Amino acid sequence: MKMKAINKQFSRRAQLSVEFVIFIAMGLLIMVSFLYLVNEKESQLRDKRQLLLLKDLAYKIQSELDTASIVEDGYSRNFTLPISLEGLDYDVIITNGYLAVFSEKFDVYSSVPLNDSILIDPNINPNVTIMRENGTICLNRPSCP
Amino acid sequence: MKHIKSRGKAQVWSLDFIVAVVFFAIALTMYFKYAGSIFNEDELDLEGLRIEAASISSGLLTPGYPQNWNESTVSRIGISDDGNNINPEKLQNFLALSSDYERTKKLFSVTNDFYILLRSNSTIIAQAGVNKSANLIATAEKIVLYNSTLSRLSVYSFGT
Repeated sequence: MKMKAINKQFSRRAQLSVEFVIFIAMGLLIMVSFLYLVNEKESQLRDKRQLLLLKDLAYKIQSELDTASIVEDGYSRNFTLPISLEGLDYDVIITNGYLAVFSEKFDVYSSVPLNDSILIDPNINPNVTIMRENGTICLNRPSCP
Repeated sequence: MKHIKSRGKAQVWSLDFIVAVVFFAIALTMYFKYAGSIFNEDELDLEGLRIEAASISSGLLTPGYPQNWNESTVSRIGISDDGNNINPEKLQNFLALSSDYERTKKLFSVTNDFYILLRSNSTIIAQAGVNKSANLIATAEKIVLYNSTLSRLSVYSFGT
């Protein structure tokens, strides 16, 4: 009778311990899943923000070139590109009437009224000079060809 | 004894646990429902739409590229020669081009749907693109001259 009681006591203790471990494991699993999902969401929003920054920069350069396309010859303007976009490194390429702003993860393209070919690495030279001569727009050149 | 056993089980898989799981599920649902607004996701989307609407609008008010573009040579669409004066010939070229909506979208370098409306008072002079309803819409408006008449050029960019 005494032995049976001890066995039952052990059995209940063991059961509680297993259930406790399962409970903690489930809790951890749910928490890890939650943190994973939160991290995914934040990463998705960070990507969206980075893409937006690139789009905004492409739009600003495009606007500068649009302005140059509607003014008279002799127009000249300097502007400085940011070294990075909130810590995001990027480069700008203009070729065959297209402007590309690209980072490690994203590329943004837009059409521009320019037939010049140029690579701008803001880490090397963030200054851009737009000129308009003889109806032609050119960038970072002493004079338009 | 039976009574004690059932109480022992209920302590772990009991109401506490169920209530905790329910609360957690509610918190999780609310988080994902409102996470967008916590991180201003809509604001980011709207800013993207604003950039696209402004880009189309500012591009239209240029001569385009090449200057005397036509449907086969165009690389940048522009319908004005001096910034505010709409060139009727270029407008017609643009309207003809805009029947190919996907190509026009590509030429504008936009990813969202757009709708362009040129009107004088309540008279519609020209329209292009897709007019639709959406949760997020950004607009860029410019006052222009069309045949020496003050007109309004509106560009709408629609979110998904």
